[in-house]
Amino acid sequence: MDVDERDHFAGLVRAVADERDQAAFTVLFDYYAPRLKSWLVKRSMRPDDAEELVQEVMAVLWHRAGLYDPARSSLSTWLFRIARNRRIDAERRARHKYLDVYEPLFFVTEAPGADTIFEGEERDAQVRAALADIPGEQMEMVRAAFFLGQSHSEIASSTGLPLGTVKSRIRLAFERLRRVLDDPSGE
Amino acid sequence: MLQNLERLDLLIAHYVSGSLPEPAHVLVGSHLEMHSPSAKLAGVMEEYAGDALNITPPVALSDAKRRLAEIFASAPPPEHRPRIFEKSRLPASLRAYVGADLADIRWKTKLPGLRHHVIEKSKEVETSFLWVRPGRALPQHGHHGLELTLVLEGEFHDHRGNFGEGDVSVADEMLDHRPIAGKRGPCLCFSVLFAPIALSGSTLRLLGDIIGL
Ligand SMILES: [Zn+2]
Ligand SMILES: [Zn+2]
Repeated sequence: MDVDERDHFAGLVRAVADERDQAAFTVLFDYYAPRLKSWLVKRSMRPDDAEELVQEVMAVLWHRAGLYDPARSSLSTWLFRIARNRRIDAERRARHKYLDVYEPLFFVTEAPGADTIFEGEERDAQVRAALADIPGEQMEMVRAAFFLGQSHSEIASSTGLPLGTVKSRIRLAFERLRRVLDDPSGE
Repeated sequence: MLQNLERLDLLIAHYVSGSLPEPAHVLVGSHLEMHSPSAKLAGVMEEYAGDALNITPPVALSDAKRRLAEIFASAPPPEHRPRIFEKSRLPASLRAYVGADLADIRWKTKLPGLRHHVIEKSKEVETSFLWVRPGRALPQHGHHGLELTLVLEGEFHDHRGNFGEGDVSVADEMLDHRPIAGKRGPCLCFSVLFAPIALSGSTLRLLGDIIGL
């Protein structure tokens, strides 16, 4: 998603927050609901349950659009985080019903450290530029392993690379990430 | 220590993608609250996760119109916040999981200078708090399964190095060690121990990647 699309979506969220704009919300729903469902099903959730959870997540956007801050994350990331936390929460409810259920929106998502990730736009831009330097083949492995839900051996067989190479590329990507985050200017 | 950090990075990535079993999710979440460099890493990984959502092939909802109508007709969810424990010494993630604060814990003394409290125990996982007197050495031991230890207060060291507040130790079958609590104060830890059976199960398949199974 490019910057224009990002701004466009942020504008739609604002319309939902300020004017309860149903048309704006419908555009967001049509884009995100099928993608969230896809992600949940890949995380081995039953399609019916996945759809139920997608409705829950999108209802958070409808009612709490004012909490979304485009300066802090993309809308995709914000919704992803809510979906992830709701899914964990659903599993927790199934596992032990005796625990107080907490509100993940105000909680896991708002870990203190997460607020101060980027102190300003300039730093943000620097970090993004530095991240762009990480070789595509390394980030590709990270994406496959963690966000497309493949095991290291599945990646090895789908790419034809030895397991050791898959693991070392992932390790290198993290090393680079840590270094970039420590010092985005690269000095 | 380098290997330990590499494994922690993998745990953080699994945390972000939501694939960790609950107790490990709680442990890593607590670590992120305590250790800002890791929180930064998690923040960047979350951006990637969001980007990945954009390239995920969409799967049509079976009844999108009804879902949409139900959302518009729904009442706003109540703004219930987690119970607030004033001046708690525990990270919020851990507090919510335990459902209590440190003051409520009923410790069991296992050895002189070593207290233990089991939070949850099943055939797959045991989670507990450990309290160790300053300077006390634990017996030399090995591990059956994967053991994650988050230092909440104080510090301990073993042959791999020093683990201070907010640090996570990742131990498995390959590791034998003799942890010794720091001298300056008691060492308080949150520990998650996965039985080997848990790592062979399909839901935890990804966790096996962390220790190279
Ligand atoms: Zn350390
Ligand atoms: Zn140990």
